[in-house]
Amino acid sequence: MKYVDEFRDARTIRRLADEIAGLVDPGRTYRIMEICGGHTHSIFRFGLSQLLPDNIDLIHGPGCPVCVLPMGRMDVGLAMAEQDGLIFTAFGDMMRVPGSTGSPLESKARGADIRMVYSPLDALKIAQENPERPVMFFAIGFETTAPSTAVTIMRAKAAGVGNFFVFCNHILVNPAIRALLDMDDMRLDAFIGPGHVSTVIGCEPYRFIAEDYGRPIVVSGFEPVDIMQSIAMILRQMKDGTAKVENQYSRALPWEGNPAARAALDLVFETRDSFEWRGLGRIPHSAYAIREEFAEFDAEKQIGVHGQTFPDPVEAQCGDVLKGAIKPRDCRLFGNACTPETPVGALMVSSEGACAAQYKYADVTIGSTD
Amino acid sequence: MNDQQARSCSVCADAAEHAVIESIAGSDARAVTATGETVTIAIDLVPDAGVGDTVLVQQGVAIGRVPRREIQP
Repeated sequence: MKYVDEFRDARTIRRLADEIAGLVDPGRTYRIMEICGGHTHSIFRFGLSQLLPDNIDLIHGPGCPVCVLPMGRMDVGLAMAEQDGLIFTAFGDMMRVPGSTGSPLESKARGADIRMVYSPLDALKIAQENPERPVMFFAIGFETTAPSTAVTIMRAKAAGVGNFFVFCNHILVNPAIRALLDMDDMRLDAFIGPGHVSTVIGCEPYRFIAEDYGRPIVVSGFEPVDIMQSIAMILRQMKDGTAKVENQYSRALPWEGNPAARAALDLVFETRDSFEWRGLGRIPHSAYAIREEFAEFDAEKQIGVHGQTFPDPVEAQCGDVLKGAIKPRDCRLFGNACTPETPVGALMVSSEGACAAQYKYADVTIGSTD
Repeated sequence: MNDQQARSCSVCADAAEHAVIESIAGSDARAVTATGETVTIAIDLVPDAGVGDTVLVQQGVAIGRVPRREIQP
């Protein structure tokens, strides 16, 4: 496949690995966080960590929306699903995410009308085809997925659809980065920035990372060459003693992002005062809520929820993994109680979760607790 | 399911894929992905995109126009 092959070329990857080895100072360590779950997945899938010097530690960041969703939000969504006549719609990746009383798939087995959709527009179509029943879409994701939800709500309003509701769990990447940088027990030297979030927000919003915190950030594509090249660009900045925002993914990503998408986000959403993130706690201004002008579509306002919410299971160490304090295989449940088939923590549910990615690609011996 | 979809999570940004617009009808377009699949996408958010342009598609909605033609279906 043109361009994909070129960015998986083994010789280019080896050349970049050599360049990286030549850029590191053996007298120090480098803690580089890849923010996006897609990068985490590629790093494990292509074994990129094994190509890096031992003193480069890739920290897997909070860029998997499923992984950072607190169990309590899942409980609220599933409580909505159990309302009489309601059709619950969500992406396929949400179907096995555990709430305190089970996953959407388990709710379906108990009789709830749970339907998997590819797009929020599919959920709107279901609402238009079932005008006598309320249809709820479980919206989740960063600034890349939020525009799809915004467009869907705008189309629902234009079409006068009265039975379509959105349970909004959209979150924002930069408040989470700032929260991580403000943590006393976190040391992060640089960031690999999210390629597709930046398609919407552009590269400018990352400037605070370089200017306020003195950390380099390189927005990266998702192929192995992209990620290796981004690491080399970060190391070059660090060697030169500079910190700036760079765009490695310029072949696909305009520096300014997409103003039309941002306008749609501004029209439909406003930022919440704060929002709970699994493992990170409440982060100010880190999530979207639906604006009052579109409140008729806001499931939290229109659908009465009487479900009880529960905190995340304490035995899983998702939060420590999300903060980079431990590696996935260091969690006491990894590979024994918590597997992709029977996930306890959300990091094992999504294919973008650090635990699921390591489990799939690191040849783990099931049952090993060493 | 193509390679991109097989390794991706639909709630995550990396599930977005490139597609080339073949025809436009109002706010929707028919587009061809890198694997040759023809899909219907919403183009509300890429007002400048036209036939032949490559767009980044996330969950059936084009969220950005790609600066250069990155794929050849």
